[in-house]
Amino acid sequence: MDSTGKTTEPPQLSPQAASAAQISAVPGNDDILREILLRLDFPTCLVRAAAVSKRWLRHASDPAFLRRFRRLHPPRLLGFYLDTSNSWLRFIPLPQPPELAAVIRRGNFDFGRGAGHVSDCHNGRLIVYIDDRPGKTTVCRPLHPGRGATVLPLPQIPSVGHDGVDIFSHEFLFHDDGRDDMAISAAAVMRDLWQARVQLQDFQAGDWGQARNSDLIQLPGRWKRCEHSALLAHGKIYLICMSQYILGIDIQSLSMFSIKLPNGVEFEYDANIALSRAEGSGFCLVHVRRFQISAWRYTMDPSSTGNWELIDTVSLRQVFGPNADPTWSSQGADVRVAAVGDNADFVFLRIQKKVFYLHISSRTVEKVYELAQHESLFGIYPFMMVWPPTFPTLNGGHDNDE
Amino acid sequence: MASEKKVVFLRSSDGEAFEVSEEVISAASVTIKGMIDEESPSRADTAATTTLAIPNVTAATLSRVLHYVNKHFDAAAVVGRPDDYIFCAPGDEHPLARFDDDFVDVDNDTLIDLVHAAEYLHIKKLFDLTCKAVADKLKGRTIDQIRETFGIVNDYTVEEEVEVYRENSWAF
Repeated sequence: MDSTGKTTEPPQLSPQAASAAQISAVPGNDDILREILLRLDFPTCLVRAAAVSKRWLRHASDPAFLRRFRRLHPPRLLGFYLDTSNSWLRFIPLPQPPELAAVIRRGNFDFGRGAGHVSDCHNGRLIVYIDDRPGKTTVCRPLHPGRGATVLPLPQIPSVGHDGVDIFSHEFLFHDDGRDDMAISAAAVMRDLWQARVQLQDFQAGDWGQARNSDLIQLPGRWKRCEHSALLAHGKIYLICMSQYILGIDIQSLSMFSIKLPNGVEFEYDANIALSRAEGSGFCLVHVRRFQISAWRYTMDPSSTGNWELIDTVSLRQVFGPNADPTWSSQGADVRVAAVGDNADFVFLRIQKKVFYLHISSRTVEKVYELAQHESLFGIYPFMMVWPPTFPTLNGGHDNDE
Repeated sequence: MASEKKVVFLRSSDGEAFEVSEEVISAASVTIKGMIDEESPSRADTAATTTLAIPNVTAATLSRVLHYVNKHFDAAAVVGRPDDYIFCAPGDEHPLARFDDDFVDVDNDTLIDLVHAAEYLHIKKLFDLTCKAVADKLKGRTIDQIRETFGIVNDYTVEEEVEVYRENSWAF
């Protein structure tokens, strides 16, 4: 029925299996079953359908089917983690349809005392610094309360001093390409004003692998501290650390490179720009100047020529309309990008003491938090629904339908 | 004569014939449009009305399908925007949303017959609507209820079933 899905059909069933499929009460043919499963709206429903029988699992777990499902039902933002000076790391759920409200209820989103800085948060997992625990850096999976948390051993401390650079940060970043949810890299970023290098270790089989060091490179601009963590997307780490450039590191080759920001975009003050993952390749960037937001997508073609594409621009004055606080103008308030969603679908903005969630394409905005008088905001980490589900690979290519 | 609307008869698998406007059913069903186009050369010189055999659809289902088709594809009856609203929430602004809700508020067997008929006749809007309705029925049910409702045998081993649950415990 759907011509777009035709090219990626799984192989035809054997005649035996096909006749068995026809007598199974419902729904008789594979095309129909797929079309029905496609309309289940939520990953929870899809997983339950996959648990009905192996035939249903085979359709639900087919990569082409999963891509179509994702396009129709993009993963939803369940809520966000909030790190402030007034409390340990907390989860603030956002309103959900009942199916996903139940997912939040079943999860365990509280990491207790000592939980603070989040290094990375991706696809249902977080790397959290928990002060009360011996190893401190911990991988948490709020949607799998039964699995507990995994404490990461300390990575190797890089040697410094011989070339004049100092440690700037330790980043713990999830790889976003595989199914292994413990694929993590630890990156120690070292720099002085005009040069930088990186030491990288990959987490394998429960421990950190051999440390690998990049060459020291000269920076095209002066180092400038940004409060946002690095981004790891499609095998590269990106760091906002110069007013006109982003620093990039290829995690395989350890080659470092600089990406010139698009015209009109500059890293001026803390968090006037932020990065996010992008589907397919590259990454997204959100920039704010005064009350104007621009969302960009950076991609690299096969010859490694980079290209910036302006996705959208949003006037915050229009979005807020009469709800804008008059003191924003009179006091010259800075708008800070506290976090960006994948594909720049949404941003969290901080304006004075208030935190807003802005959905870019629909231009809807809502206040999601207000800081107390002496409360400082350290970080906001959007928490998305898991996608895709983890489906088991069953034995044998030809599972019987009945 | 020329202004009179052409009709065709559709004969169901159990032998009942239904009259429908040729224009309306051609707009709705890719399959029937194809049948009519094939017949056309021979029809041009006769006054006889065409009867098309629809061997895969029973009278009960076909009459429901034609009820839907007349509502949705008769240009005189259709109001508002014509197009895709399949992934909208039920009860939203489409003028026929209410009709559609009532149309698919039927027992499982009837609904599944409609899915098959819509697929065979290639009526995309009806196929979308009925697939969505089946999906909505699945959504509220437990796995055992789904198996029971649709007569599906659980062919998982215990270990395999546990694995599906364990890897996606958030869904249960």
